[in-house]
Amino acid sequence: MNIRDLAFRFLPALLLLAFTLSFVVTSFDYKADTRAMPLVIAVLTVVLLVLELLAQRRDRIGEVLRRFFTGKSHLPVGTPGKTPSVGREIGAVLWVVAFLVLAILVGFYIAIPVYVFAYLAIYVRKPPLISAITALGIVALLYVLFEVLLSYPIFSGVLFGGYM
Amino acid sequence: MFEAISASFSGLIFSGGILYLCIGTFVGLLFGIIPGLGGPTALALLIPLTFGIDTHSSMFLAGAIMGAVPFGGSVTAILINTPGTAPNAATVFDGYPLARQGKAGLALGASGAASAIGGLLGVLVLFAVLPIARDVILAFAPPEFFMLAVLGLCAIAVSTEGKFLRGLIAAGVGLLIAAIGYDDISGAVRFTYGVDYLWDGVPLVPALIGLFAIAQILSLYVEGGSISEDPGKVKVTRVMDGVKSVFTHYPTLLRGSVIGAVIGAIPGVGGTVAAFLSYSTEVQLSKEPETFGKGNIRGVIAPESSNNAREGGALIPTLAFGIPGSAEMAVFLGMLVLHGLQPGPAVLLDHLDVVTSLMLSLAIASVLASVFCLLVARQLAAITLIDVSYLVPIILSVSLVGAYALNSSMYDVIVTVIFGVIGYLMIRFDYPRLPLVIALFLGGIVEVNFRQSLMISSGDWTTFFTRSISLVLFILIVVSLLLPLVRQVFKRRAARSGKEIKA
Repeated sequence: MNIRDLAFRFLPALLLLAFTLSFVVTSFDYKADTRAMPLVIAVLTVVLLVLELLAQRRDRIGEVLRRFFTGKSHLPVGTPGKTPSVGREIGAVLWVVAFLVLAILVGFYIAIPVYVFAYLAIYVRKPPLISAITALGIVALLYVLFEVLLSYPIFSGVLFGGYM
Repeated sequence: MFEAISASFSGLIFSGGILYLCIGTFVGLLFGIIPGLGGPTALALLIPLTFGIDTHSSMFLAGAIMGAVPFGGSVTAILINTPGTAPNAATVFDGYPLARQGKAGLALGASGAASAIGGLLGVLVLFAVLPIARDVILAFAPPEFFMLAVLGLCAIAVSTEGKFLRGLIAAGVGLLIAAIGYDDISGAVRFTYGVDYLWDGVPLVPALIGLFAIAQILSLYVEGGSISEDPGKVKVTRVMDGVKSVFTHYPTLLRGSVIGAVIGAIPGVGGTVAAFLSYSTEVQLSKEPETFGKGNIRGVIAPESSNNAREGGALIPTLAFGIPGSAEMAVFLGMLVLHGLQPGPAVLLDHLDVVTSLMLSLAIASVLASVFCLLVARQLAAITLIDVSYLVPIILSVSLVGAYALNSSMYDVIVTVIFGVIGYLMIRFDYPRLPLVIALFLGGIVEVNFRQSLMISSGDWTTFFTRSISLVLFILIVVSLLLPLVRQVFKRRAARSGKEIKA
């Protein structure tokens, strides 16, 4: 049993448990009728999460719970399907977040070509010319679609006076 | 009625109705295909433009948009795992696996035919039900709405084969997220943690774009390659096979259409519930439920027929009582008022020709949109062969700009990205996204109707079980929750008898 296996089995339920418990705790700040429904749902979800954590154990209780809820008594070995590296996954999220931050700062019309070119030419190593054409093509498409056809003004970035 | 229909046909052929129908169909397809837009946005944008044209032409335009949006949304759902509109989310679960297996043409063909026939059946239901619509709608009070919403949630959690517990957990978390913001009954603000943006709750469409489009982009980032697992296998020539499969699986088509029309007619429940409910019904009725989610063609036919049929259903309360069945219908009511029509029984009594024009355009647009898309299915299916390196930035850019365009808010874009990461983690850790999505939709309905029921009954809990429709829905909830258990018992018995025969 390694840390990766343990994390795969228990981490999601533990994170969801923390999220749900935060609702339980916060709900007591509100009046009884306002908190009633979310509190009931949160408590039920906590019970389900505890069952999920027990179902991940490699003992008799875990086996019984797995058989009841999933119809299978065995635990999946490791992560299902392909197992991408955590570094690659974090990298993927960072690319999206970086694009978002850039769009907030300078708006979509600058962020899109910068991001598309950087992603294609640097990250996936496509030819620079094709990367540039793709980047400009996407901006042109979005401009025609939103600004010309739909008359939707697109965000221009907080640095250029855009309103969030 | 006959005079009204002939007046509508006359308007369609001799007064330029065909032109408005074609424009509406094209606009509807476009808005359906672009993730984050959809029918309400298309109608809202076109309302000011219809002021200068006559009422019949406006109805042709509106009906065509409503008829074309659902199928447009299924195209991206099948090809790039990104539902164009929320109700197409259910199509993703089997449409996209089919595309990955190189059967994008088959899925598109089935989706197109199911959408067209579903749309026609929905209009037929509208046509048949209008005279008795009032009694049906008035039979639904808060206890029935509450039970119906809970049934939707349970049925969907159960339909996540082998992940029942995780499905219920995802539904619970979805209901909690749906509780964020204003409490609709008392007006108090809950769980916003000091963020003013959350006062109106977590916006639904950005969350959906995140859970499907962005999560998919993250998966593509990590996996690379092309959408089709084996590019050599992509056979767009099977479009007609897809069309034929709809006729082969006609019970699925009829079930989906009926569910769509009936659920669509219930105000506030909406097309997404109809699509998911028809999908989960197919899973539960299937002898091979494990094949769903892996590319079962019935998983495409059921939600798509339901999706288009519900447009006809949703028009029943909208036209008969002025009660919009969905956001799209609410915008449509605005269009009726703009043209001097008072929504409600008066429309049916005094302006039946307007109603028939609408029904006619809805029916024709459902077919027209499907035929048009099927003609270019080969080109559409070729999307699955594109190197994902190029698709990733395109989908990301369009999705985020689409999320922004909804309310001109960058906070919506941030929500989209957050839900994208959540969606990816759910894929990664094998938690079903379907119950979370449906809970986001139903959270408000569940709570408001539960509390209203208790208020009306002065706190008497038996109100949920003493009303006949409510009781029937409750029994369906219990049956739905027991189904996996019953199915397991039958499987074990079958396995045992199989062993005994071998012995």
